[in-house]
Amino acid sequence: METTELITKNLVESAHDVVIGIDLAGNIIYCNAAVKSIYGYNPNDLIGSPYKRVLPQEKLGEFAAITENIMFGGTNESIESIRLTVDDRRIKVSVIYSPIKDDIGKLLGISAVERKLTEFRKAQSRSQALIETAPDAMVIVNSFGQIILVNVQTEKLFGYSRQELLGQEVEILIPTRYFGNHAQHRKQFFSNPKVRGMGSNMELYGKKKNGAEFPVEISLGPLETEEGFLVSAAIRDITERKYAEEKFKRLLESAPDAMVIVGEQGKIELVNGQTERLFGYSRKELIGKQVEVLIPERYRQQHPVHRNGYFTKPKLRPMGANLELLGRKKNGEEFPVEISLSPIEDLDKTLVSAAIRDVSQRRYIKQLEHKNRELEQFAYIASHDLQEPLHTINSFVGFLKQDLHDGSEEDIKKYLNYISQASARMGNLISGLLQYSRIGKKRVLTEINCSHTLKEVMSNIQGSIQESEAIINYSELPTIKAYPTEFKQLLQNLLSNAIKFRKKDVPPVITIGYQKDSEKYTFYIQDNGIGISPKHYEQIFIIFQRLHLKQEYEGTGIGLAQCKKIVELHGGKIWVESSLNEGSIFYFSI
Amino acid sequence: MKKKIDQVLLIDDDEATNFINELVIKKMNIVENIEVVNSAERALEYIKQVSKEFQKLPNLILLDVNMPRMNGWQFLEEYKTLKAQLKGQPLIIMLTTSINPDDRERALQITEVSGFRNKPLNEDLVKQIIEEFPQLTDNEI
Repeated sequence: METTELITKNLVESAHDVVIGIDLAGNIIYCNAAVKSIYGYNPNDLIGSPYKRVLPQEKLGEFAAITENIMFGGTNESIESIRLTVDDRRIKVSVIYSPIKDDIGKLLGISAVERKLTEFRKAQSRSQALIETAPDAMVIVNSFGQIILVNVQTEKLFGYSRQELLGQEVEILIPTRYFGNHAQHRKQFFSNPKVRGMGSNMELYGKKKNGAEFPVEISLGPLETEEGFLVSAAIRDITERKYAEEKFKRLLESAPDAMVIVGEQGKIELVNGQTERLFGYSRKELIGKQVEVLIPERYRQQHPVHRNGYFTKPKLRPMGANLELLGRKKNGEEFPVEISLSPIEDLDKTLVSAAIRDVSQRRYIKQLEHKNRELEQFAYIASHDLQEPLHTINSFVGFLKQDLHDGSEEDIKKYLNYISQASARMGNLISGLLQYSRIGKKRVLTEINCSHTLKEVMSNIQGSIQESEAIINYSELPTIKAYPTEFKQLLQNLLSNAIKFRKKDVPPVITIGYQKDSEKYTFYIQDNGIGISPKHYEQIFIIFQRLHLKQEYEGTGIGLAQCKKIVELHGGKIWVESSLNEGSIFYFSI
Repeated sequence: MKKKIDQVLLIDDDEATNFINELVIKKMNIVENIEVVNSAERALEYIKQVSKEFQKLPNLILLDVNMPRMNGWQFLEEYKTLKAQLKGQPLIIMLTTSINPDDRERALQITEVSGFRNKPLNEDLVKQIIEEFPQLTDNEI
């Protein structure tokens, strides 16, 4: 019994909420201990004081209205109000006022139960508190599509107050044109509720109170509560992001190069208009495809290895430095490109942007420039070698003029001899040059029997073969595809050289043969002649470069340059193995 | 009266050119001794030989640019390495049929080269050289 009494006695006194009894004159006649912990007053100091002692000026009217209401028998909901502490701080409280009546119902006074509010405007609901902490606008909707809970972010984002939203259909928050489908989608979600993003791959928009629309991203989640099945929608304003994306896209479009953005698995995520134009694919055809679709088939297998390598150490750099890179158009056409790679750090993944530039034109110009330079050099060198015999002729004609009357017959014969030698040399140079420059004109690849060609060559130079007593060994040669005139010239030059550069008093022994290795024939012409020092291996193939005096070995310095040009025309290589006095082996692969 | 040039070295691979150059100079009767070689290698040998025997170096070298195996440029490279051991400094004039301006540029950048002339050598050209380089006929070198 004692316990029951004690509880009754201390029930009010021990409450955490402030409990105040006010008489009809507005004076405090009771207050519990909580006034000390919450307002800082000693209860005894407050008792006897007017209640308005704890009210700020602007709340006096509020209390007057409530008093009146209570006196007229009305009821009061809990309200939010403000109280003054002993040190004049203002604190927020929720208050509920009730009438105090005696046994027969006569009004004695008013009780006020006051609770200090925490930082949340409404602390009455745990779920409310929870959604207030969410960074996104949170809207909780019941199965009828009515909004039953929103947070501050929702108020801010949409411009509605909480009161305006609660109870409304959620469609109030979306543009009118989406109404039709939305209700349908909403029902579907309730039939298969799970956490998911809303309208993936669709542009979603919210609508503010003032009618303004803005892009949003929405995540939906089911919520099972005592009140039934609810849906929470987290709504994020993505205006900024959209803007950034737009800016990025515009930047991409304004780039002079084809830009291709690739994800870690090599999938194309984004391309610009230049890419469409350059490669002949539409954007739609490219996005989601492997980036390897843009390179020639023969490189596709190797490419992912390089790509993965790049992703492990992504940094801004040109691709395949010193390599000739090729792009492949939709129609299969290949073209030279230059590519710069740079990583883009996205939120959760690494992307790589590739700036691709078509350099076919530039390469073509470079080739032309190179050819022009070559031609210029060629013209200088050719004019040099052509002028020399001309000067010789000129000089001797001058001597002849001077010596014609008083010179000795012997001298004059000598001069004439030099003149005819120089003229012959001039003639050789001119025809050699002409041949050289005509290599590859009107060319048609033809099946030729190399053995036949060799026999023709040998009959052409029969004179020098017999004169030098050369022995020429050769096996049966293959039939290959080549340019007939040029190939014959090649064999003839090499064979003539093998005979010409023989050792004094040693008849030339020459062996001609070939080897076949994967798609390629390598021919060789071996001699027992004077040989070539390794330091001249390259020089001998340059036009007009000679290793010997004219009186030792006559020649124009054009023959091996011709051979090189012919072999290269066939896509092959020519080289020599030799050492001085040890004979030479000339190889060429076709 | 100016004295004759002691010695001229002609370097050219072309027999006819050497014949012409020698004849032009001989006819002018201004050189005591004309040495003719038909390759840069022989010219180097000659210079080494002369310097070993403490004979006089040529006062003037007329050097062809394009020659087989070792050309005029390569000769100059080798000559530079010899220069320190030589007593005296021959005047070197490059003589070529090349009309490539790059060759002239290149020649004038080599300190050992005093002049660059186009062939053919004739009396006027020799006179010009003597006027431009009076030390050839004035002083001992």
